[in-house]
Amino acid sequence: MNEVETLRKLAAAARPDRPPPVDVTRAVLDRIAARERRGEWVVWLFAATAAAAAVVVSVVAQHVAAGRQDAFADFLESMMTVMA
Amino acid sequence: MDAADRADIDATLAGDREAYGRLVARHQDAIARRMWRFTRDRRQLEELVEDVFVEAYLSLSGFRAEAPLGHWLSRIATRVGYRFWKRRRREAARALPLQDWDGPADDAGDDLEAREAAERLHGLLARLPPRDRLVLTLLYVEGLSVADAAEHAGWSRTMVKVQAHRARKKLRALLEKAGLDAP
Repeated sequence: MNEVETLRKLAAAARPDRPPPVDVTRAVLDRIAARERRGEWVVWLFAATAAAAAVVVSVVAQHVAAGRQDAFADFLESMMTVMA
Repeated sequence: MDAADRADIDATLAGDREAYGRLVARHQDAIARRMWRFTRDRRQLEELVEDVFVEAYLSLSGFRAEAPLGHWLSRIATRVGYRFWKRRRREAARALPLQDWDGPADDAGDDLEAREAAERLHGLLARLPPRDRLVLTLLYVEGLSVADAAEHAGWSRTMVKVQAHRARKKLRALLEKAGLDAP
């Protein structure tokens, strides 16, 4: 008997090889919902970061355009104080 | 394609998640039977079946209804199972000696002889690298044609034939080493 016949013989002997019953319906829907919530959170975080970056760039641009480097330094300092 | 599947796919794509629940309920037994080839552990089985349906949900918009949904799910299941084997390769290498099985500890409802044969088959194939194990399972355990095996594995037909040749050689060496079969 060659290796393929051995394998087929074992496979035939193993039939029927039924798995234990499973019910994953709720678990699948929960995982999908969790994944979508994570996706929404990432989108929100990205949007918030982009908005914050846009505000900073806008402030920098306004100060540089007005030639007020000192005022911009004051703004940065006050931001650092708020964050601390 | 089955009309109920078609309706539930359309509803799912329109945002009705409960419709996807109905698809899962209809196909989970068939997917569980397929994933039972990839693990003999009930907890892992449930996780793998879940993985298949989560992956299918994420790809559902790309499903072309040219074949029954079950065929498409079956291909996803094969790839999920193959990835599982690759992750578990190290553990598979520590499998029990071929002669040492004392039967499964789960509550599968088959008669003892069939379950023992299934455990033996699973343990034998677990000694091979995942790629060899997959091609032997598809061709000789599930009895798929080369074309179908290629479709399930996502390989070319040539790749299936070459891989099957190599896998048979390794299996032969394994059987000889275990003293289970004469060459």
